[in-house]
Amino acid sequence: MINKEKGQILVVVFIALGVVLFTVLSIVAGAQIYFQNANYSLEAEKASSLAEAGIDKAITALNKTSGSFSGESETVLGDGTYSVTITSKDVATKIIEATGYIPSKDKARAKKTIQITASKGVGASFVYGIQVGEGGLELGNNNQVQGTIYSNGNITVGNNNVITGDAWVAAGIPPTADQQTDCEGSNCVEYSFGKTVDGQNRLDVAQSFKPAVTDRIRKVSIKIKKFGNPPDVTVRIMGDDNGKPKKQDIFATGTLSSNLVTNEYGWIDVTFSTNPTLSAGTTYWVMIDTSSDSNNYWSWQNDLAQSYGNGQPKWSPNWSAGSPAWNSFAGDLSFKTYMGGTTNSLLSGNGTRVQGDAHANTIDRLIIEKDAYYQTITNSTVSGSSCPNPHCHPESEDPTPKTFPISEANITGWKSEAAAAGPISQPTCSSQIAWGPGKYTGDLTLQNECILKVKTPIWVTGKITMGNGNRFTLDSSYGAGSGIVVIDGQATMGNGNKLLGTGEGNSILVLLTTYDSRTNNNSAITIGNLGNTGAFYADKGIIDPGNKNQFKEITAWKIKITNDSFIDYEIGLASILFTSGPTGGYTLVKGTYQIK
Amino acid sequence: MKGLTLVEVLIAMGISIIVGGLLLIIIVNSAGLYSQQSAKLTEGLSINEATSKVRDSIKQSSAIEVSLSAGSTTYTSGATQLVLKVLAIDSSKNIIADNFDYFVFFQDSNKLRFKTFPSALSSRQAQDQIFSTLLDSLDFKYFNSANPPVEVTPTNAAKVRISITLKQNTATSEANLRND
Repeated sequence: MINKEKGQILVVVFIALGVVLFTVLSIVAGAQIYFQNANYSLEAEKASSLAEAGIDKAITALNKTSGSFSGESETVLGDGTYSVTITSKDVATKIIEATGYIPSKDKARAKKTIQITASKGVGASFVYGIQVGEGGLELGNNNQVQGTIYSNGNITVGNNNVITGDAWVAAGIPPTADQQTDCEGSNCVEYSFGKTVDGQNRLDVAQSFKPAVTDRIRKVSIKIKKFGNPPDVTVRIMGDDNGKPKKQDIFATGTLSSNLVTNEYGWIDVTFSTNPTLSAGTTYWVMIDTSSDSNNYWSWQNDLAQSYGNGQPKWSPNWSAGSPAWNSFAGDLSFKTYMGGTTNSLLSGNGTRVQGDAHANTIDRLIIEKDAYYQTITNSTVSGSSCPNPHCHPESEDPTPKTFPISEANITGWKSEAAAAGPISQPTCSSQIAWGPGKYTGDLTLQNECILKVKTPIWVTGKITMGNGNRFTLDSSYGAGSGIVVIDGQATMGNGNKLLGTGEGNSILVLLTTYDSRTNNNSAITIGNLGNTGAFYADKGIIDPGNKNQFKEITAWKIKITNDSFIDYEIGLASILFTSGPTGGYTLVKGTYQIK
Repeated sequence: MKGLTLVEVLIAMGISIIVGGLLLIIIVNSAGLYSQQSAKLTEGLSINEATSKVRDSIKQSSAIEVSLSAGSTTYTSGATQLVLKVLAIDSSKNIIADNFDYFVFFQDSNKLRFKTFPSALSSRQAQDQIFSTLLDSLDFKYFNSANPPVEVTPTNAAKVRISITLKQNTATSEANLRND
């Protein structure tokens, strides 16, 4: 009996020890799991960075090998490796898939795959169904704009039109600059920034100026070019602090779009989100703020002759530091400032309806279904009743003018590419061989029913005259890319002419003219009636789009739409890519980054 | 048979009570420690999963959506809610141009939740996932691409920073929108 009771305390001690042991082991195991999980998170992030590095390298390699680079396998970098595969989607588009491994493909503890599309070409963003410059918009009767209208000039509307988006009438930009400087001959030199140059960390560069008038600043133009493909940068108008930009005084902020800049110098317009008043004779600074990238950076044209007497250039490694260091250098950076301008109106006939908001200095006789922003409004209804009501916003600032989505530099670039592709002659209608890319010298006349497959860019140095029923279709090898036909003269089209993209994605074919209508008031593009389609662009010209046509997008200095037209803006046009010719470089296509 | 004396019984009982008490204390403390550490581990795993999911989602986003109405609920991007506009994908997991799904990360009392609202064409599945039920606070901050970054409204954001505080853990992470 006594023997049977022996060891009971030992059993209890064992149970207690078991519990303690279980707890300790569980905690140790938990800590191990947590450590492994945290380690995995870190390694997954490293794998992701490796994959992104692989993509960057692939873009560089594609450009160095004129597109023949096909990828790489198990390249060692840092704590791991990456592999890249490249597949061709169409003639100008490559799909790059990069996978990062930690520590290697065979023993991968972490793996991340990223896919992105790269394409040869120039990106452009058509954000509005109709975008009009200072010439303004004349809209006849019974037209429908499926999208938003943005105008830097007056909008005069007839009867019974419908605008399904918003109507914006901005303040106009004056035609001449208030302050400007450029350079000549050997005095023109590069001033590179956005990277370290000669030991100087030139990230922020500024040029001072003194306005001649006291007025609102509407726009600056900067003569700039880019190396590689830097991202968009911010441009600021700043006050002066004893000969350097004053970081506390930021008067206006705008974005310099990298898409508009090429690898040759060109004047690039920058507009601002507000148009503050600057005082005559006071020093201000135009400042560009970049981030450092030794492969993707900028060069601002510098005038060694220092021909601008009212300002000076400076650079800084960080304009917003506690006490920013600004350093002088010799020259004047080429710029133009535009002050003043006009106030513009949105004047309508009867029964014209804006289904979104209306923004203008003066609004008359309009049915606005949402809100109205204005200084003066007459004979209009806003959200169902006359003003004042909660949807009326009197004393609103005039909208700021917008720059066009294609720059002079872009156009010059396309012309250079077309010229490099060689001369082209009168096309053979219905040919199975695509017409272009190339340069056509002289006037081009097409009679009727000419069916053409085209490869762009095409540059026609004269004018284009088309009869009826002609059709330009971008070659299918361009995939979702878009094409452009640049002409220096006027374009005249009869009826039923069509400019078509490939049919894939947001592909469009744009007819662009550099013809200047601003002084002679002649139409740059005249389109007949019934059945014409396409996208048209004339930044200095008038487009007369006729009646009963259907357009993807129209951008012009002035547009005169008569009656019964239908503008059908597609959202995808906000990011289209004009496919380059053989000389174009590969860049990433925005909106295609994907973690697989 | 020889019995036990009273003193022996009392000593035996005393020792049993002391040993039993010590064992009880050890067991109770061990159980408490176990449960505390398990909770901490679960939290740690949740926070890692959540930050990783948020970061990947932000990277793939085309934009921060100001607000999203789903049924009777409206989600608005701000300090405690993030609505991301992400390109939809087809059955081969390729992007569908101009077609968007919406991801929402938000605080629902003490829960950190993630919902997916796929478009009609998308092959993503609708999701309603709870990362943690121990959320103390959630904070989204929105920045532009300037150097140094400046805090902006969600519509102008190029970068989002997320701070998650659970009962015993805090994590902060940030990512840039690669597709904006």
